[in-house]
Amino acid sequence: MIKSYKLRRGLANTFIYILLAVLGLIWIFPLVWLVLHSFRINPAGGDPATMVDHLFPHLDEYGINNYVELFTKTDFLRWFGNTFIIAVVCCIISTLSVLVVAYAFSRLRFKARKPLINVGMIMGMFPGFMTMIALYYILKMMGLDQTLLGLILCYSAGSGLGYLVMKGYLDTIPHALDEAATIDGANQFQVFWKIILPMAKPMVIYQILTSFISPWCDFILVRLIMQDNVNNYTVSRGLWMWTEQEYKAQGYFRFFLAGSVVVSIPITALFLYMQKYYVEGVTAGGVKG
Amino acid sequence: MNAKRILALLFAVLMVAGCLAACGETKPATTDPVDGTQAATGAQTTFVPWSAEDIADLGANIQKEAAGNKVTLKVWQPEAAQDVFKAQVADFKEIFKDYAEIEIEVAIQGEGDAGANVLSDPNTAADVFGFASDQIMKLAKPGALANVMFPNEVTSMNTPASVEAATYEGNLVAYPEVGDNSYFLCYDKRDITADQAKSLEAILEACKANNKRFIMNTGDGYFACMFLFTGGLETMGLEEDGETQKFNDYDIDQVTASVKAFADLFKTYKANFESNQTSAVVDGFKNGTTSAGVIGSWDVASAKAALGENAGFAILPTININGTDTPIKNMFGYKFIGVNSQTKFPYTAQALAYYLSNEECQQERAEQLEWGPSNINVANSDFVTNNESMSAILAQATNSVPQTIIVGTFWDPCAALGTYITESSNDFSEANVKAEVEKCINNILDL
Repeated sequence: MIKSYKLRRGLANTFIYILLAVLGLIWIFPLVWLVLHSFRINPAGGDPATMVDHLFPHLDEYGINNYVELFTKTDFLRWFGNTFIIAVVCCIISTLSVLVVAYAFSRLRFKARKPLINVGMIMGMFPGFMTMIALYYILKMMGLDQTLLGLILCYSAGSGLGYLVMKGYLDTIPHALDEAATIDGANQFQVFWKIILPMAKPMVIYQILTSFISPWCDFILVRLIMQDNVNNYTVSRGLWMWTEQEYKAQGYFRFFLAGSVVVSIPITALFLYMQKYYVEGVTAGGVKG
Repeated sequence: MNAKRILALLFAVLMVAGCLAACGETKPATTDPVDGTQAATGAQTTFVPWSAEDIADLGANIQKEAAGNKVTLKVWQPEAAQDVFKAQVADFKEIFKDYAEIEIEVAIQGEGDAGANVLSDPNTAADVFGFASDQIMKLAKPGALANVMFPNEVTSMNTPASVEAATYEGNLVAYPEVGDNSYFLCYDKRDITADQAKSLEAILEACKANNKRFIMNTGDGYFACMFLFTGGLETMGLEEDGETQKFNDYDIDQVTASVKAFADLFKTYKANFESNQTSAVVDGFKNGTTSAGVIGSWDVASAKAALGENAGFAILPTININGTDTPIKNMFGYKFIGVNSQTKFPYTAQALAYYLSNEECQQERAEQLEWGPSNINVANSDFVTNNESMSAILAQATNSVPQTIIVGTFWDPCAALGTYITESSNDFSEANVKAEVEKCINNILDL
């Protein structure tokens, strides 16, 4: 039995850190593989092999050819632009609508408030793709199928139902502030815009982040709505197309890898920039009380 | 407040960048309607598969269905073939330009998913689309395909097997477009001689000598069915209930012997045999670890790029079953051009499908895309007979089962059997193999 507390703690920590390091490596490895192989080229010229039997590309196999061709030879840039436009517009619409709904439920008192909260909660529990067949036919009737606008509508129309976390946060802001502002002559909009909104900044950031990310990840709706309109694909649908037999035979797998890495850039950049607000936002929403 | 400003700026920049990214790229988009100027590039006379009277007849019908408006059609073809089809479509418009204004869009759609996408919404799907022969039942059963308007001409021009594969319940429902949607042998001429490539035993022996691999995809029913077919089993369409797969009068012992021969051979050469996708064969050629493999006609271009002049192509080799060298029999598919039964302009669509599947267009695609022809004249043309890969795969067609009416439950049991025989730890006694074969056939019938 080891007597020294210090030694014991040291041993335990070593063991724990080794375990964590191994777990961390296992977790990060697919990502590392993706990045490394996205830089893998064929040193002899021509397309690189789709799959190789070594985990790490050999030293002479690195190059940026895949990325150069991704932007010059394929439709990727266009898809990237589409996704970006959708993400930005959805981000604005859904952040605003969540804020407005949450503010109304948190601060205003009106007759059907409780029932509406309940209805909103229940509706929010249905996953969006449940109604996708109906969505498709409705959009088609409106002539919005295969358009970016149709997709934006689908992504942002129901977003107000995700008000719950935001309302929880707004509830923690003391009512005394509103009252003070009202006494000073502020109307409802001024209270919202000048008092509540600045205080809810962390949660707004959280909303922006989550709603910005969803169009990059969604595949189901874009597959259904865009059908064969390749020009209006988003990155996830486009990358999926490259896994079809025909594209695999043409060696598009390298573009798939490079494209996946490029997709992660805007999301990562936004995350890095807003990280401190994000952490504040999540914890602030959690410790209500 | 500074952070807010930076944030606003960041978004503004990103937004502008996004707009530029989307708008800046105005390269000729993939789904642009074909403009008439392309037709003008060919000063040579456009090939016309109809007589002047036929054109007048068809033209009158096209004129009638256009009713003074523009005829708009959409064509689905895979990305690699877009340019060829755009040019051919432009030629087609030229023939009927006096009768109606025709606008035809060629959009990207892989043949593998075309059927499913036509069924999911026939209204927005293409009017004329290319698809693989395995989808014929799925499409024809719910009536998604219009009957061919020129059955006699199509039947006389194309190989009997491709016409048979395009027939559903006695009606010709699609225009044969490609006659080689199947798989065959590809080998590295530096490792394997043309003589060795004739038998599977010699190929595996050569692989062993070179310490390289032989790759085929036994874990996929499309390939694994060759173990059964080589033993004499064949699919014969459906039973009368319209759901169950019908087989010929096969001899179960013969089928077992075939499957056992493959199993024993793969076990003997387990160090040099690998079950993997066809793209892995090409990868193996690229990095020099593979001597031979079974590849699809869709891999030919990349195999040629990987091996250059050392690329050898041949029909599937023979395998020794109980002392007899038996040629391996495989499943042979085709590609068709179908006409959407819900098209608003059936005459124009039918004429276009007929035009795209005619001799001249098939010849062009054989030369430019290496799409093997279903047209008899093109198959006998100098270009095709002198092309090693195309003639090899067309030769394979003579010893194969056409991939026509295959039930959905066919593939998985075959794949399971294929996986079973490549597990070298299994005991391949005759009784065991027979039990596996029977299980496979029962699963195809019962599942």
